[in-house]
Amino acid sequence: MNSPYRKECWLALTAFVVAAFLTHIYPLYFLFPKLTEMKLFGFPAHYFLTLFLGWVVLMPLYALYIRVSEKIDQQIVETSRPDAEPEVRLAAGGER
Amino acid sequence: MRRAARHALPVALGLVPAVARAADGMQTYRFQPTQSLSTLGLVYTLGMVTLFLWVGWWSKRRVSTTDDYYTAGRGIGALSNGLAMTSNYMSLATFLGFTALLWKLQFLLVAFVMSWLGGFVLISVSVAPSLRRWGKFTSMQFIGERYGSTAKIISVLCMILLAQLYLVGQMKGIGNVFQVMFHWDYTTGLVVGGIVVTLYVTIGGMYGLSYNQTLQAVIMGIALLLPTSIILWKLNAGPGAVFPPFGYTKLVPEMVAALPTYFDPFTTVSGKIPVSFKYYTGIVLSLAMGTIGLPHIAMRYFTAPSVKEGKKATLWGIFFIGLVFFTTFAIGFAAKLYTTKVLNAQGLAIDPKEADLLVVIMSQAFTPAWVAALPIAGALAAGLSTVGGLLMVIGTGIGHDIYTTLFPGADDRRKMKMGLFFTAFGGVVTILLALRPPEFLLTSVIWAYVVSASTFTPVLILGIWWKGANRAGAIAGMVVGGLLSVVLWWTKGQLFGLQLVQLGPLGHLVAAIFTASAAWFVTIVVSLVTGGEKDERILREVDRIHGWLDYDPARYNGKLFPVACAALALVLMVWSAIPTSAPPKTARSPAPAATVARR
Repeated sequence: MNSPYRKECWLALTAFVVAAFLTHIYPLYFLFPKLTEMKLFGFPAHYFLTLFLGWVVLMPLYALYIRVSEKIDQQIVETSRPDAEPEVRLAAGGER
Repeated sequence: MRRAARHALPVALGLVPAVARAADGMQTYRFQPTQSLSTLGLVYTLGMVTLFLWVGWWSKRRVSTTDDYYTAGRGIGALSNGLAMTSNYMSLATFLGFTALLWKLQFLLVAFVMSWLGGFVLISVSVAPSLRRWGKFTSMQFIGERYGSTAKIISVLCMILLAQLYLVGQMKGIGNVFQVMFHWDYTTGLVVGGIVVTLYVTIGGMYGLSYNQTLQAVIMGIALLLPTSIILWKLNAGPGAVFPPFGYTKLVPEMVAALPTYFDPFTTVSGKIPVSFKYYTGIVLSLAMGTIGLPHIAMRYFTAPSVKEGKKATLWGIFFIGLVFFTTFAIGFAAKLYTTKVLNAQGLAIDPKEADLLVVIMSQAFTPAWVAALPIAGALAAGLSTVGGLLMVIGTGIGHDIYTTLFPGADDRRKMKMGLFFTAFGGVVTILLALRPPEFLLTSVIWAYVVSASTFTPVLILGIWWKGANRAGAIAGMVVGGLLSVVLWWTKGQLFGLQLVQLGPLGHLVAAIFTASAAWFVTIVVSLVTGGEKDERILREVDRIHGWLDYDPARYNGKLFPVACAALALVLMVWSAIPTSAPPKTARSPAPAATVARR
C-alpha cells in the first residue's frame, strides 16, 4: 500500500466515489425518508443536505484531493526517474 | 408576502392587457416585454456582442501555431479557466431552461443539476489529468492514438452527433430569445447570433474562445445574481436575499403550503409521477457519467499550463458553477411560488411555452428595466459560450483529427487553416439545421449526455485505467453504445418488443442506465476475448500519461477492475429491464394526501 501506483489508484477510486456520493445522496432519501419532514436551516433536511454536501462540502474535499494527488504525482515522478536508486524503485514498486 | 403581492399586482395586470381564456377557466398568461426592457436588452446585447467580436479579433494576433489555435498555447490560468469552464458548461438551456424545468419537475431538476455538477468533478478525477498529459487537443485524438484511426473516426462521428444535438438546441434558443425579446424574426435572430459566435471562434481559435468564455461567465453571474437578489428581497425573503443560493429559507413555509410536493424527492411534475431509487441511479449514469465524455468539457483541460493548474481551475469551476446553478434554483423557486400563489389566484395560468422565460418574467415583474434586461444578455452569453465550445470541438475534430488522419504529412499552418475552415463550416451547418428544428430538440441537450455516457465515457476511462482495453473492444463499445443511445431514446426504451428501460414516462431521459452499461460491458468483454492490447508503444503511453517516467507492464493491467466493471454493468442492464413493482408506488401514493391532511 506504500506504492505510489497503489496510492494513485486508490485515490482516484476514493475521490470518484466520494464525489459521486456527495452530489448524488439519493440513497439517504430512501434510507431515511423522515428527512423530508425535518428542517435544517429552514429547508427540508434532504433538500438542504443535497445542496450543502454537493457544493459547500465538496469544494474543500476537492481542494484536499488536489493536495494529495500532487504529492502522489511527485512520488510517481521521483520513483520512476532513470537515475533513481534500484532499491528505492523496487520498494516503491512493491510487486516487481 | 402581502406587500410583495400588492406591488406585483399592478405590474402583473399591466403585462396582460389581453388574455385567452383556457378550458379550465384559467386565463393563459402571455408574456410581453416592455419597450424599455426590449430596448435595454438590445443595447446590452449589442454591447456584449461587440466586445466578444473584439476579443476574438484581438486574440487572432496571438495565434501562429496549431497549439495556439487549438489549445490557446496551453496558457490559460486557473481562475480564467475556471470561469471559462463555467460558461462552457452553463448553456442557454441551463440558464433559462433550469427555471422552466424546475417549475415543471421541482426536486427532480435539482437532482439533475447536482448530477451535472458531480460529473464536472468526476471528469477531473478520472480522465482530465491523463488527457492533459497526453498533450493533444481533443479526447477524440486520445481515442485515435489509444485505439487506432478507425476508432478515431467513429469517435468523431459520435462527437458530431452529440455536438449537433447540443448545438441546434442552443441555436434555437438564441433565435427564440431574439424573437421574443426584440421582436425580431426567428430566422434573423438565429442567423445573427450564429454568425457572431462563428466569427469570434473562427477568428480567435481557442484563445478567443477562452477569453470570451471567461467574460461570458462574469456576465452570466451578474445577470442572474442581481435580479434574483432583488426578487427574493421583494418576496420578503429577508437578509438572506443577498446570497440567493441559500437565501429563500423564509419563503419555504409558503411554498410548502402552496405546493406540498415541491420538495418531495419521491415524485415529480407536482406529485404526479413517482421517482424511484432506480431512476436516481439512472441520473448518475446518464448525466454525471455523460459529462465525463463530453468533448467540449474535456477540451478545456488541454488549455491548462499543467495538470495541477487544470485541477485548480476545476476547483474554481466548482465554485462558480455551484453559485450559478444554485441561483437558478432560487429564482426557479421564486417563480414557482409567485405563479402558484399570485398569478393563479388572479385566474392566470402559465403556459408551458412561457416557462422558458420565467427568469425574464420575474425580473420584469420585480426589478427595474435596467436590471430586468440583464438576464437577456446573460442568457445569450450562456448560449454563445456553449455554442462556441462545441464549434471549437467540431473544428478541431474534423479540421485537425480527421484531416491529419487523411493527410498525415500536412504542415502546421495547413492544419490550422483546416481547423478554421471547419469551425466556420460547423457554424453554418448548425444555423441551417436550426432553421427548421424538430420539436424533440427541447430535450436534446439531455440526450447528448446519454450519447456521451454511452460512447466516449467508457472508452476514455478504460483507455486510461486499463491497459487491456483494445481497438476491437473500443470500436464495438462505441458502436453498440451509440446505436442503443439513439434507438432507445426514440423508442422510449423499447427494443424488439422488450422494454429495456423500465423507468416510467421520463425514463428515456436517463436511458444510459442501460445504454452506457451495455457499452461498458461490450468494450470490456470484447477486449478480453480478443486478447487485450499488445502494442507496447501504446502500453508505455498509458504509464506515461499517469506521470510515470518508466514502464512497468503490471501497472493498470489487473483483471479485477475490468471484470468488476463488466459485472456491475451487466447487473445494471438487467436491473434496468426489470419492471418497477406496483406495491412501492401504492405505498408512496398516500404520502402527499397525508401531508395535506396534516396541514
